[in-house]
Amino acid sequence: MNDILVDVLLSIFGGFILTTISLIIFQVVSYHPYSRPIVPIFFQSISVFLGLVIIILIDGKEISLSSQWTSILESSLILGITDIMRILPLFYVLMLYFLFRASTRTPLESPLLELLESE
Amino acid sequence: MIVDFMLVWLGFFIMLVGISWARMGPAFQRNRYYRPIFIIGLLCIISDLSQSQDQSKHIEEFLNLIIDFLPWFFTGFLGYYLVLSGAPTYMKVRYPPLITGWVIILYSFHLYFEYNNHLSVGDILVSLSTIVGISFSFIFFFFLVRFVENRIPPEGPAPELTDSEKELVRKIISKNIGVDEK
Repeated sequence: MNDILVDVLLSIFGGFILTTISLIIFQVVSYHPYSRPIVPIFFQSISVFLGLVIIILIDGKEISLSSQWTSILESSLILGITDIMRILPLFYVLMLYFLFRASTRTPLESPLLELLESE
Repeated sequence: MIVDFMLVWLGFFIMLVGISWARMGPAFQRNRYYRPIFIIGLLCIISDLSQSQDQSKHIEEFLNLIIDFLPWFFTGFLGYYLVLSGAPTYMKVRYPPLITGWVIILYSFHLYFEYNNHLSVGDILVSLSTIVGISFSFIFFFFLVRFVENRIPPEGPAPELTDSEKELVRKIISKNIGVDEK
């Protein structure tokens, strides 16, 4: 397979696994009486496992119990974090436009806000 | 490899816990300890970076990337925070934080180019594909939550307020619109 295509696929699955694991952690640690996280966490865990299987297949290795699952998981997480850190400046540049608009906008006219400022 | 890198993953996990606690549940039930938890996680990562000796090449590259990332990111974050706090969103414009924020943002971009000059456009274009995976993960999560929420039977109509609840609501509204209760 083409090297660039492999890198692109690994980046896609790296981002997917990183985000899915982050969402699983979010659901577990932010549990409250109104949340129902069991079904989403179950299917998300399966999707992470399938993602790891696909990464092993992309690498051209055989799937077995002895496959280094934790090592592959760690590599995927590292790849996901690396990719996010690389593309974050692009979002910073996009946000500059909104920041510039926020800096130059006229303040809202509201008697309640004026009251707040006068206190 | 996992054990060598354990402190970074622990820090990453604790930071996620902090972010989750900041965003969890109804606004009035959010956990108040999210800030210290987040800072502890960040310190775990930074302390491990300062002690990272004899790591494998794979981890060494990742640690270098974090070291290149932190200076411009935190500088930029501070600049954005100052600009937003000085912008006339709700209050009148406050020029000292606004101008200082813009200067710091420009400096953060200078830091980015200083620390990341080894990155090529091709690297960034390949990294952009991670957005597909991230989006797919969020869409998958959205459909899972919608599936679970749709299976919950609707609750019956809420009971009428009791006299004490009505009195409490009346007091709150009177206080907010400035009407004397007596």
